[in-house]
Amino acid sequence: MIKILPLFNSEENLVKALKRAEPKAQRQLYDKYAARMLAVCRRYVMDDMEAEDVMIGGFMKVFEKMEQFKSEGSFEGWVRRIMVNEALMAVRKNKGKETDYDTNEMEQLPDCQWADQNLEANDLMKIIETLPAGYQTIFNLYAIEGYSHAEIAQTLGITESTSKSQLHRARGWLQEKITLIEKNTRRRFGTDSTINFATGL
Amino acid sequence: MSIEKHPIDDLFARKLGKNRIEPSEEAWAKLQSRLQPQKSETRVVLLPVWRVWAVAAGVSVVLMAGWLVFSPQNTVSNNQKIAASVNKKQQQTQAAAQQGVAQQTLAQNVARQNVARQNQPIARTFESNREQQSHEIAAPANTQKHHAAASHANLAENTGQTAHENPKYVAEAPKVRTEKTGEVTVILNIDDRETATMADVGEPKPAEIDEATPATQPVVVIKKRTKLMRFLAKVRDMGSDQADENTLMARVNPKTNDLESKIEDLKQFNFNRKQSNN
Repeated sequence: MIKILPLFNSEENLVKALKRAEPKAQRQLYDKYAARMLAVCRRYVMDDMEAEDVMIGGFMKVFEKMEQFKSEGSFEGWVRRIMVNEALMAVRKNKGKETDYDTNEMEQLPDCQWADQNLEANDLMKIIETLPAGYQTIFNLYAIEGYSHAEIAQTLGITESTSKSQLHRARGWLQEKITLIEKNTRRRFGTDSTINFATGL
Repeated sequence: MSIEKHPIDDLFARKLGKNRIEPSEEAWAKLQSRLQPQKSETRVVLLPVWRVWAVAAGVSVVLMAGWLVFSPQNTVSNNQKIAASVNKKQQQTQAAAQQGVAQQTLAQNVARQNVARQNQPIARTFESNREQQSHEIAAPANTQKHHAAASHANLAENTGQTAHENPKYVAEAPKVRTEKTGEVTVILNIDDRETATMADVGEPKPAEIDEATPATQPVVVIKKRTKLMRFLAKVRDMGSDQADENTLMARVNPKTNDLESKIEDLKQFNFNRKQSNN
């Protein structure tokens, strides 16, 4: 049985080779992280092709800034942060499309047990895509990337209170969609692959 | 104490945090195509920078070497060597002169009796001889004439004050140009082989002067200068009060006569043209 071993078997060696700009190391990094990073970019940029371009730009930045990586934190976290920044730059370019929406915040915490059992990542991605761009960015940064409101405010050039209010509205929007999908699915006695995630019907 | 995560946040973070989307097959090719021009561009930019620094370093090394070669210290040492050889020749000439000729001793006695009257004509004779030499060697000879005239003025003043001594050629640096009483400074610019020969030819003349003016001790300061050093010295002198316009002209352009004739030709040409226009 043939087992293909990676050329740089430890992350430390890979980082050293990347700092020397070795093409084989660059290819190995791409193979290791491309799929994960494209998923990150896709959460911010709704178009598949545009998301891929953002990911390529992110890898370019990673290769250019390798000297700045100090090996103090997680290398994947450092790469992911560069990807997120690249995606945010793309979001800023499309900022003119953004419109403000009024949503009703849920006063009670929702029950996500049904969604956890019945909804997969692709379904949740479709729900996130229905969010307005501003809500989407802040929800992604806070809920999934783990940024604080202070970091979000600094990154996006907004106030912390704006970040908080938009996060609450994003949660309300998502909760509303999940509740609607759950209701329609229960009415039809089972999971329906033809659910319209934009309308919940 | 950790804050409990919101159920919606937790749901999306768990399901989407480690989500993967495989990129298209063309994505790596696109990335490579964007990486290649950057690498070649880096090479293009870096090489000229290295070359520029290399050229700059080379130029600075050449300048430093040039400064060391043409520095005044080397010139002084060369002057000393040349002056020493001239001094040796002069002493030989003196020995021959003292041994041989009784008539010269007689002439010396006569000269001692008529010091004041003989100084002027001798000075003139020496000056005229120098002027003849100066016409033959265009640039440096003017300086010789200038200093020779000054030396004869000193000669006339100092005659009879000190005891009779044989003339010497003493090598000294230009800055140490002697001002001692009873010494005569004669500056010979030995610029090339031709002028060096002229210095040899002129050796008997200080002996003649010495016979006529026994109280003086001529001191020859010999400068060995390159063309660059001569030019720099003249540029330096232009700022001072010692600037000599005639000398400078003669040195900058040794073919003064040719230039004057050209100027005359030009004047004639302009005159003719004006007449033809009228």
